[in-house]
Amino acid sequence: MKIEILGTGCMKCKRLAKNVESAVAELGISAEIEKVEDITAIMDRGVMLTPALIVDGELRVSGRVADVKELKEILQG
Amino acid sequence: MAETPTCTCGGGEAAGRKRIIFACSGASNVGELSNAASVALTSEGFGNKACTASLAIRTPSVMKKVEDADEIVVIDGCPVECAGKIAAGAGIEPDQHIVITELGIKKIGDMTVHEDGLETVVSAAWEGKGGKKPAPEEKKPGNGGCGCGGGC
Repeated sequence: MKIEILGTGCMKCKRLAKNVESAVAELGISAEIEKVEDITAIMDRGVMLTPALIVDGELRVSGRVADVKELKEILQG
Repeated sequence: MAETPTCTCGGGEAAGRKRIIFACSGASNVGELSNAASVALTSEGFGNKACTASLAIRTPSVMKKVEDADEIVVIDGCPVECAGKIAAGAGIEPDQHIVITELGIKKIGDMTVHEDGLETVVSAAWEGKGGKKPAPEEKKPGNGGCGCGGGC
């Protein structure tokens, strides 16, 4: 599973990254987590609101921080 | 001109849910930590801090916020659970009730808020560690345990 966390490094982006790490750890799953902070790279993915979360190429969260419970539901698919 | 991505700092609702946060804001390290955590959680878009003192006197504005909320989160510093009791008195059963001393942070008289403690409490809220608790029992005034020095 590839997880991309998009955001330019503000506190909300950092919190989303921490929540993703917690969700992955709680689920005990294997995932490649990439933090995308470059504004051009974010735009290339069609994201206009950060923080955002892309899982296996699909935009799942945009413009807000998801909590750990919601992230676990997303990652469990 | 191409649009650039917008960060949602200062707005947004986690998981589209309206959360109201009541902190005890007591006069100890963990009380101050409850306040700092509620402010940080508001900044991060977890929910919105509301006035616990206002809840105690049930002002119409705060009761309306409670009515409109999807989730109520209470953060108490210590097992005296002042904020939890105020919430119970207003007929509220919190969806998440965090007691900071239960997260392994010892209560002391020094009111300095430390960054690592703040992260512990904020993370606990995001992780939903607080869970639901039974309503705290009413405590008679003056029988101790608060530690604020006011005899409560």
